[in-house]
Amino acid sequence: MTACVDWSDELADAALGRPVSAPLAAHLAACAACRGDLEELRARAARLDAGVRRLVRSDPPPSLVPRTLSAIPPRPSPRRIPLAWAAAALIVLGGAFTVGRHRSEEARVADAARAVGAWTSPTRSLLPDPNPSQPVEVPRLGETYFDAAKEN
Amino acid sequence: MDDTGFEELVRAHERLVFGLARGVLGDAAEAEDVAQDVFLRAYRKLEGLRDRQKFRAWVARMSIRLALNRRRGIHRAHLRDAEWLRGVPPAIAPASDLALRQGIARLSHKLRSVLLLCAVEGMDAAEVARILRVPEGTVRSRLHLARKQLLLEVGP
Repeated sequence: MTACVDWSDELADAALGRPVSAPLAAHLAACAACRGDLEELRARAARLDAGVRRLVRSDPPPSLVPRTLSAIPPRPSPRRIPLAWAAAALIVLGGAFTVGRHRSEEARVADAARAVGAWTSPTRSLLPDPNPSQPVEVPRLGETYFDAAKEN
Repeated sequence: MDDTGFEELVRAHERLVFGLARGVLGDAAEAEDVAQDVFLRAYRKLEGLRDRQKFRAWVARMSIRLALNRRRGIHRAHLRDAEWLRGVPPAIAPASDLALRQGIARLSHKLRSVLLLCAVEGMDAAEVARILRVPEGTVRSRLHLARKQLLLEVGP
């Protein structure tokens, strides 16, 4: 390009379709070299656009589609579980759950019974039996107090 | 979707996918490899790409991305083999095409994506904006910058 360097950027913009500014228009009116450059840039821009389109719009090779489709891996076939097997598995699971629940109920009752049988009063150890006349049974709350009050 | 439906999708998008890959790589054989890779990946993600617009946008983005990855790999391989290849002349191609491809290769990823998408199937700015998930104004601005860079850098 031989045109004025200061205007090269704006000339490129104008060649690509940007509106020509008033200062550039005034310069172009006075500068034949820049007018020539603008025309040259417009022609080059058109060639470049066509070149880019030619590059990306080229026909794909005929082998692309068959090659792609042949490379697709086969789909895994879905495994079907027979209904009878599914029902049988459900029954077994349900039975196991019921039996387990029943057994655990029985175990809880037995544990409770053992606990009741093994229970002793926490105050029993406070009542040693040096004198057989002393009551062995655990006195009820307040009973000894009232008995002592009667004796006094 | 069965394999017949997928074949239709491949046929409907092969020009787009191949064209974008070719635009990034400049080489038809490399672009075909990338296109196949794009479609195989799409096949694995078909469930999420049922919508046709979504499929188109996805394969367009993936074409550019995979082509760029491949170009980086090729560039590394060339550097690796540079010593061995020293003195071997470059592949024969028309000088203008070569200069244009080199010019496109020098564009930034963002500018190149917009330039190629706008050129490949005559997409308008709105569609490119949807594919790249950027505002339409950004597409117009990047397209202008990409064309300007080519205009100023690529010879007549």
